Amino acid sequence: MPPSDRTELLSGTLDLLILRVLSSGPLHGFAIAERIQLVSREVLKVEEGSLYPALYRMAEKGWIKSEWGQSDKGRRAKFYQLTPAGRRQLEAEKELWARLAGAIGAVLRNA
Amino acid sequence: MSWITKLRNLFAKRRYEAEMAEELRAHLDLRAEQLRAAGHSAAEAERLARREFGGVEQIKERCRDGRALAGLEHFGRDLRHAARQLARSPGFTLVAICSLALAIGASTAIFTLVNDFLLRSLPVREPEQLVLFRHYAGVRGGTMARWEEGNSAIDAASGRRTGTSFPVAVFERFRAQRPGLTEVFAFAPLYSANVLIDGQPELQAMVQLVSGNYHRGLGVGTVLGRPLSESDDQPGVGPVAVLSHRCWRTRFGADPRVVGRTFQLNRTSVTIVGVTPPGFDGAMQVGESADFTLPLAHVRQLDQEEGENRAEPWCWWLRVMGRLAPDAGRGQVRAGLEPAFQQIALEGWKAAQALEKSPEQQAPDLPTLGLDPGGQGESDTRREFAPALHLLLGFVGLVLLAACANVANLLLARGAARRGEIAVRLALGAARTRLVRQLLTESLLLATLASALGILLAWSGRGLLLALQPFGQTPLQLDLPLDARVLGFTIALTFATALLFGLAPALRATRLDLTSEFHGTRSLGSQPLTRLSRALLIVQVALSLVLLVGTGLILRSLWNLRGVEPGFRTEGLVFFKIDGAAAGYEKAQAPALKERLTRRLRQIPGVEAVSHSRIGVLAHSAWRGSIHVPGYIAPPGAPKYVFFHHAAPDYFDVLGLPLVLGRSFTGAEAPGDAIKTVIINQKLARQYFGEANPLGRQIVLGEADRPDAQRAEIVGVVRDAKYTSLRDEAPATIYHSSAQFVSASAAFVVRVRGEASHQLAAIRAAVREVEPTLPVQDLRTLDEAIERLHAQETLFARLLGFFGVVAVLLACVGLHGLMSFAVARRTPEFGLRLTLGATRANIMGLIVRESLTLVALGVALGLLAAAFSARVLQASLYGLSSIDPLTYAATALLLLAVALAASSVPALRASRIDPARALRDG
Repeated sequence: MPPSDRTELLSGTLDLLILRVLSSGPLHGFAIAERIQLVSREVLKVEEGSLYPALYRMAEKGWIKSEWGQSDKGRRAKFYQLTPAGRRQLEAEKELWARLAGAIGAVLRNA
Repeated sequence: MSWITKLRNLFAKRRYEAEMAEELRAHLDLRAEQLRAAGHSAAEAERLARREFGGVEQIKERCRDGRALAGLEHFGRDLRHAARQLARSPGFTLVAICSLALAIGASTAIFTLVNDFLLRSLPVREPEQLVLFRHYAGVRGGTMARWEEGNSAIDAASGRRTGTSFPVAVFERFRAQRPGLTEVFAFAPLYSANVLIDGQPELQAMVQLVSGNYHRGLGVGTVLGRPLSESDDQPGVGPVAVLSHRCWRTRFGADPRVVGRTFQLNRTSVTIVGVTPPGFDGAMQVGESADFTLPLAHVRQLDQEEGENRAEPWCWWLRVMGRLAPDAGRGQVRAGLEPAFQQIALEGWKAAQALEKSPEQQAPDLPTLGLDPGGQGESDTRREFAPALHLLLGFVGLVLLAACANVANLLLARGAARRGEIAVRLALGAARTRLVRQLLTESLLLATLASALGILLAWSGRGLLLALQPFGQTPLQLDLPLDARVLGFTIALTFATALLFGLAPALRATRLDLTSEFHGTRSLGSQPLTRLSRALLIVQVALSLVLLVGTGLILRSLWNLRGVEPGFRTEGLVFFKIDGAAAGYEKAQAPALKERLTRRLRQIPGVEAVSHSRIGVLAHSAWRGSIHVPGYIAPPGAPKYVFFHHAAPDYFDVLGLPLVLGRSFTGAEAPGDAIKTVIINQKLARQYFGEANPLGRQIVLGEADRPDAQRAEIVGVVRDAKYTSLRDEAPATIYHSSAQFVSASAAFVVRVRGEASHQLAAIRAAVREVEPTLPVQDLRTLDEAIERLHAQETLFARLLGFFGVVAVLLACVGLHGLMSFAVARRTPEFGLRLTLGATRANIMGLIVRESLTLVALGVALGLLAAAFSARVLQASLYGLSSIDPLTYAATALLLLAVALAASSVPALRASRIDPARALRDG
């Protein structure tokens, strides 16, 4: 892997990002990676080596489900979308993240 | 995701794989298209997309890991891989499986014995609620019984005599009171039982008499017919019997219409009413299988010798068991019943006093009552053989360790040979834990295959252990079931051994420095695996030595025992026993029967002389009692008992036991003689009379204060002879005249010309001719009798010897492998040495020295371990100490010699190295 100035994802946060990106509608794997990169203004780069295992793991947990469809370029691709359990998980993880970020911020400001 | 989906995932694996491949392919395509749109050529876009993406297979693998049942799937794949790997090297697989199977099989076989002897509960309802009553004699004097049967031993804790027999009156009182007990029942063997099925005598049929509530109290039903009930246990009711399953199978051919059939027991017709389930043999001593179970009420009719006395309070013969109420404790039961027990015991003693018309004496101390857990039934035999069984478990433990060390060493060598494969897999991204798991799967597969084979070995071999009859005189009736406990033991053993021999090699094999692996620069001098191999080999040698030292010690003591003089003439002796009472002879008729048998036996060509006594020579049974010699004061520590024997007038002649003083019996003695006639041996004469002449002296037979004591006059002194065992010194022995103490049973002694074993069939036929319904028991030559005395030692020697040799062979395989490996590794070095002027002898010496150093270390370790562990054998040894230097030295030399031979092949190979080639190729 070439060295990169892009930030490596904290472990566990990838799930949160995927859930968040999928909360606005079904996407295939490539689009999920693109979307995260785009929205984070190229700061967060999702490695395929992490993305797909994460998707399979989350499907196993029942947070997302998948079905085959057509990409906008006409290529057959597998689209993922949130399940109700996934929505609940997203809320929980968002809250957790906010608490964590707040805590870290507080430490950085005041310690 | 529901479990159905999960299962479908597992089975729809092909579709799953295809979809995963297509999904990842789609990703690559989309990225490539994006790159093309940014101006790259098609080929360039494809290449870039791939490079960004990374290892497709690795990503797939990580996706699969997330799946449910992935672990199971991995295991399945590992298993297939392991099977392929094992099939690829059949030599290794064969050696590993066979050595492990031998060890696991031996362990399982011994464990079936341990299970049946020591661990198994009676197959009855809630056996933990059962209790077995036991009496403890008073500190002074006996148990107050005039007649006592059953096992009697000295209690280790209190030093008092203890047994499990009680008078009928005690049982009846217990059953009536039963504080804290829901049920009290009783049983006892009928020792003298002559069973005729369709007119044919059944040898060694075991009969027990039980109270009517026996089956209900134990909580055991029947598979055919019905169990006994109280209504069967009434005088005047026709005798009925319940068969054990084994008896039904072996003696009645599993006849489904057996209920209602009759058989003859001691000339009484008995009707069969039921068959108990398989595995239930009654609650008597382990190995005593109650073939026929009859109600107590018929004892008077069935017991020809003592029947009329069985109801007397001084006749102690019933074993009494109870079932505890759910909230009751044994202490409470004991406290509740002891007064009743003591009262009846005292009544019995008084009744016996009155019967003997002996002068009024002060009553001895009252006996006390004890309660044992009864879940295993009577347990005296169990306790007696526990040490031998633990010893056997220890042996097989050593064998198992040796086998594990051997396989671990083989695996290490394999790990070394598979470095390439393992390095490639590590480099391709396989996690080390995955590889270790996979190697362990291989070990587990080996262990499992070995266990399967081992269980087969145990199944077929467990009978051999019993066939040697290492546990007492009578053949034990044991099922030795391969039950859940045995299988659980073997499965646990399988996993334990797989870990024991597999873990270290697996960890070692996967700890590789990849850089040096692929640069081809791995230095041959620094092979860490050889250190572990060496350690394992040393352990193997040490364990083999321990096993062989044990064999040597026991063989030497058997040899010593062979040289022991029993005191009588040994050539051409045959013994057998008869029980006339069982064949329906009254005591009064017995002398005539013995006379007829003696006459008939003398007619057999080749038979020189025939006589009889009551106790067999060098058999397990003994008859001990005390005598009282007026004026003799026992020095402290003198044995309390002497051994009793019966003898016909010519018994000493036939046995070749010369009289040193006085005369033998005349044959004119009679049971009514007021003063009995006895002959003593030299040992007894020395002990009680010193240098004085014992002839004509009067002594008292039995304890002086006992009601059944009798006066006797000494008429002769015979030479000392061994009694029950060759190990013990000939004991002080006193011979009664068989004409004065009449018994319906007899132990015959036959002196024959030539080979004794050739006469056995003729002797059996002669007895049958005289009395067809009289079973001939324990017919054997003196040599066989002696062999049986040492069956346990023989079993130990054979097992230790067999496994010792196997362990040595395996150690040799290991040594040969290790040295061959060393030679291959050092070929360039040897080439260089030869070029620089070393002789071939130098090179050979190098290898031999290295292997002998290893073996010597193993031998040293083994000698220490043997000296430490052989102490447990001390009780089995005769005429030598457990650290006998000769045995140790001989075994050590033997091992060194064998090791020398094993290392000579690689050493020769090393000496034949062509220096030019070695240097070029190295």
